[in-house]
Amino acid sequence: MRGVPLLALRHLVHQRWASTIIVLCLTITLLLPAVAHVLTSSYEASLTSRAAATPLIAGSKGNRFDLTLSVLYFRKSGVEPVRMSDVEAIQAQNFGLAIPMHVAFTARGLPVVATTPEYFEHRNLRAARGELPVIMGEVALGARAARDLGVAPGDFVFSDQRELYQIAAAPALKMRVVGVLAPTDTPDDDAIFSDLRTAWVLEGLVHGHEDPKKLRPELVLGGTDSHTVLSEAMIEYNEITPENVGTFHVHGTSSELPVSAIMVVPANEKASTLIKAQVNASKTMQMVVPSDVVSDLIAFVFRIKALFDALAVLLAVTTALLTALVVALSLRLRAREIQTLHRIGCGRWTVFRLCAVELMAIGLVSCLLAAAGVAGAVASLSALPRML
Amino acid sequence: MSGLESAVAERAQTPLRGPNAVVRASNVFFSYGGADSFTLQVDSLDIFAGERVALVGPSGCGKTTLVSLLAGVLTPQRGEIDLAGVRVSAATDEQRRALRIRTVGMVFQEFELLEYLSAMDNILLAFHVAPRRAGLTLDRAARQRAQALAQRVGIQHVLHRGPRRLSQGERQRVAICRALVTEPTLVIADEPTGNLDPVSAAATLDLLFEQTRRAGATLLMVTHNHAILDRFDRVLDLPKVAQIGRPA
Repeated sequence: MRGVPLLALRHLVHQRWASTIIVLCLTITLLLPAVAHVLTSSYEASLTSRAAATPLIAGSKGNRFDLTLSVLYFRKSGVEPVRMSDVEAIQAQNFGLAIPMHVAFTARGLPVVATTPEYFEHRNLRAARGELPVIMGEVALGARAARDLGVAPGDFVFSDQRELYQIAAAPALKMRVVGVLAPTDTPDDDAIFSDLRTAWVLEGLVHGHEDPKKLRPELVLGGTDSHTVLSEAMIEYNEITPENVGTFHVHGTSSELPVSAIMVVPANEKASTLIKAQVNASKTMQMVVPSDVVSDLIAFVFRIKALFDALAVLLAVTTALLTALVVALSLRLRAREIQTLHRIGCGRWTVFRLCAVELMAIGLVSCLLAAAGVAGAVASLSALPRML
Repeated sequence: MSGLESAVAERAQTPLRGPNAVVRASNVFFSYGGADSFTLQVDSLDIFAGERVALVGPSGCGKTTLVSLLAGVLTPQRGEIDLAGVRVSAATDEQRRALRIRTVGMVFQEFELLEYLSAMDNILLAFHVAPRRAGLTLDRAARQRAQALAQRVGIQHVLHRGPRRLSQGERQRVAICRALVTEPTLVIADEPTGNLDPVSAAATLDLLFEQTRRAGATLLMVTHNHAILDRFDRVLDLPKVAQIGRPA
């Protein structure tokens, strides 16, 4: 290297701390709005596409954001569950498909999504390895969940205990992994899917145990010809196997079993309008259009982003002014050097080029660092569904 | 007659060393306005090839202004100045810069080395910043010339160091090498011994004389040090060769 670039580089290296501080300031100024833009754009795209692929959601009256996010991103919500009878009622209207979803439980920190095979069909989910869960106690893991947990078909995962100190509660269930889903880059990749009945087992509403006639007498508290009252000291099965699956039963009626929400896929526009009207007329249920809810959510997010954009502009102006001040002070400090250069006869524009090359080098390094930061943000976008 | 006057009188009679004028100024008038306005008029001044000329005068009398005019750093309002056969007073700024960097080597009082460059790059500074039309190319010959100069003045072992890691004497040698590396016709030294003790001043002068002689360059040195005037071929006492005007 020679000439002005050499001088510029040597000066930047000589003033390494000042150069580094300016580079960092510029990098942050460039990086913050760029990353905010990338993240919000990706957030918007992710939310919108997921919502668009989910026509309607029925659930108990309550926070519509909670209800929507519980179905789209398997977040536990504070919304009361609905009953299987509600699912059957919607299904009976023949307006389309009603897919019950239960998202109240987790296994090793990941949501256990209990649903019916129609869910996999609607979301176009297929097993990359093994098969889809169709029997109580079977689970299929999303691609990322399987990778993170390091499990494969044939392995087992335990559900997380909800009530650590209530010994009478349903125990953690040992669930057999029967499949791993193909990756989709959606929240489905981070979930554990099971048959709907598995969720009711986790709830303790469906359980299995030894034949009461074969139990020790002290575990049988009493009963009639049709019912037997058993002691809570009796230990239920914590694994569903081909041998004991026949012993699992529900106390009460199946139609009263809970589900978190119902995904509704109407047959057409008219069916959509009618089913919405019918459900919304109910005193206990609501029907939401996920794309509308998400639009409202995004509008809220973008109002916050507008605030951040304004702050970013303020930051950019401040940084520009400070940089100009630093350059002006630097020129003042270098007045003797500049005078010497002029006196020995250096070209008219050489000093200008010297400063310009230094500023360009600082700008270039800042841009490269900011670009690297944006690339890092883009690379971390795969975690976005999980953040939601 | 004072020491200065006798030195000037004696040196003014010294025969010129070469027939060709490296610098020729005639009817030069320069002024600047403002609160401390100043005028300088030189009717006639020639400096010939190979001469060693001292420029003396009281502080503020315009010594630095005159050498700046002769080197083409400043342009006179009137009159002609020829430098190495080129009419610098009529040249454009770019032409003057190109001529100056090619034909004039400068040694400053504080040496004015660039802190962020090594000694070697300081010596080669003119090659780094020369305008294209000056025709200075930073090639192997230039580097060899810089190496040879450095060896001659005994700083070849510190060429990779920055000025902060050089002693005063080493910095001074770097400045002299920088002035000579372009093989200039004229070396202008603006009080290079101003801050030095007598021993160091004498050594610097030896070095300048020796190196300019070897390079075949003419030396014009601004100085306040009357003790060294007898070593010059000619001494120009500015108040005597120019009319200087200052506000009353």
